[in-house]
Amino acid sequence: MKTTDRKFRIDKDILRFSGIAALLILVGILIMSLLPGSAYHGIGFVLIIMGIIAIIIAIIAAITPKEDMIQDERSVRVNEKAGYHAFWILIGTGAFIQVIAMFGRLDLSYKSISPEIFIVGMLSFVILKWYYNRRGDIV
Amino acid sequence: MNTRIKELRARHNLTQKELAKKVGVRRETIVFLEKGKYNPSLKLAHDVAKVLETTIEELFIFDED
Repeated sequence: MKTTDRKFRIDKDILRFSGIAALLILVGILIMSLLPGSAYHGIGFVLIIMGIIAIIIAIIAAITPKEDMIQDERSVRVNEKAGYHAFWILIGTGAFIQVIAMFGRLDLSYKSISPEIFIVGMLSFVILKWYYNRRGDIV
Repeated sequence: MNTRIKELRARHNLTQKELAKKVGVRRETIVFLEKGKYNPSLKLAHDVAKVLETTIEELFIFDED
């Protein structure tokens, strides 16, 4: 049976990525079980989560045909447009929070809210990319 | 914008996937091109026209309005 006929595509890149994911989980488990202290537990937990995310990405890549993974001009345009708008949403969110903090006399610092702002930016990018990819008329 | 990609692709006995592979784009790009929902670059228009053995003018029909 040829590789292209399989439902799961198994090539060098997928195997390498899966190997890295398994390694991350293994190191995470080792750190959590061998090293004492909550700080090491935190690092181990983050490594395990990263490994799980990497495995999910590898599975998605494996079930997607290779032809659908190539970067053509349309996918580049979709990425650029989604990235541009996600950037302005990120800036707008930061400015909006700043204005609320100024007028509401809230004790907010960018250091404390920056993770949330970055999550807004990342989510905006993912949602906009999905939306522009479906819409089609990308100029 | 209307296109004759679907018609010419059928004449060449090509599937969307095969045409996409020959041109070097994703299959969904061909889908959107056939629906007239995507304005391709001059290079992509040229590549599609070349594979379908026609000209860009024959392939893409622009409305005057």
